[in-house]
Amino acid sequence: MNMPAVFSNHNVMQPSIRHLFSLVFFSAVAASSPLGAQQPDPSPAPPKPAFDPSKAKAEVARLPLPSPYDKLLAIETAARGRPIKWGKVYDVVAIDVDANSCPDKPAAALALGVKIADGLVAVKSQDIEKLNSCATQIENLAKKLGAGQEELKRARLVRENANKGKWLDVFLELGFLQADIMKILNRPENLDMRKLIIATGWMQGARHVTYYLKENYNPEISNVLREPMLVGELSKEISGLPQEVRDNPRVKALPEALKNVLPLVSIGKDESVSKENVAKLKSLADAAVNSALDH
Amino acid sequence: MKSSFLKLAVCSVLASAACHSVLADPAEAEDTAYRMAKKYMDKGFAMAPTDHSGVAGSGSAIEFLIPVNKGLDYTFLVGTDKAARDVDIYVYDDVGGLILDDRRPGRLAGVQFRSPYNGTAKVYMVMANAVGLSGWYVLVGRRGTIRPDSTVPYSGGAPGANSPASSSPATNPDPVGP
Repeated sequence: MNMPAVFSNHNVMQPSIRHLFSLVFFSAVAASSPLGAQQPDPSPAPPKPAFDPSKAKAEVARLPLPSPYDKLLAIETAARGRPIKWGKVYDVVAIDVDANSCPDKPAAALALGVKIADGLVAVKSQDIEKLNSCATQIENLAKKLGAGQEELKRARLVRENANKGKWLDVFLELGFLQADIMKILNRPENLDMRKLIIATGWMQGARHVTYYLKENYNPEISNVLREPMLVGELSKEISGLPQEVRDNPRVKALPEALKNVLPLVSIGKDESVSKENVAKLKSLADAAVNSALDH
Repeated sequence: MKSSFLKLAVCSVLASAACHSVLADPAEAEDTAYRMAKKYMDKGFAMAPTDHSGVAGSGSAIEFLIPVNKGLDYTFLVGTDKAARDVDIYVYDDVGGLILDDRRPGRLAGVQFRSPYNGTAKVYMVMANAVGLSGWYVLVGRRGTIRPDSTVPYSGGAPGANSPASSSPATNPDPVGP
């Protein structure tokens, strides 16, 4: 075997040791090539069969944190670029929350969902003051749920980017901040709290959107409220919470509220939500959020 | 004595290298996703993680829901660590119709399409091949469009991505270049 000079000149080395070193050398070379790099394949691989969800088993992930951001963006798109003053919607709909007024973890989780939704509307309205206010409240509520400095480190980046007017970066960092906070809530003992955040997050987002639609009703745009699958799953999850959680005074209105909301958002892809149903949805969401915040 | 010591040292190095190469690294997957996000932000996408991440072995699939809205351009990206060899992504609408997929070989995957409806997309992340367990992280980007009534309901996936509903040329989400 041709050994590199650095090895072959070491006369003291025994052949077996020499072999071991050559093994290390080649192992190191092999390890240095990135595993993920696409290596040229001398023979074309056979076509990969498509994944078929009706036959293959997939692990079902937890429900996502809903975001009103997409609905606001979709409304702007449907309005063909006409500027919409989301800051005014925020002024009417957003609710300030004092973390110290939350007596327990469910109360903090419910409030956190509300503030996350408000924070996304603040990003859409590109208002630094509103966003900083939301970021502070989100941090305080997250601490109440057990978040530490590690989970909240991105809050600084959210503020820094907002101050620079880099709103896409704000959106990204706020998303990572939420994901970091949600990691704490993925611990088995916190999974119920996660569901509460998602429920009030959806409800508060619905409050923002229905407020806008009620004031600017347009049948074509009203379909943005369509969300049968997510609300259906959410309703099942909230109804399936342990009795002790459902008995919490701030939680108890949620299961019924979601059941009542579901038929209103379970419409066809081309159907509109009537003005009356927009108002009804708003009333249901208002009541659910007010109850969750004990207002 | 000296020989035994050297053998022990060599074995330790090899074992360490072997372990390093197969251990899932969710932090690396997140970093990869973060770099991918930055690239799409330059194209006007508002990118954010989905709160969907984890580790997966070869052949495993994860199903998750992602809300979508009509007229918006979406990109769904999967970042992984170096233990991943091949990851795929499939996007279905809320009545079970395949919107598009990315089944190209590679350790990153991504699709881009314009949603023709309001509701929820059902997404499958399939770890087709990995060395042991691999970390993965899903990102979603959305971008408003000036003309929601455009006749391009799905703007296709990456070159090679399958887009049954698309009649338009594939645009380039280029998901494999963080």
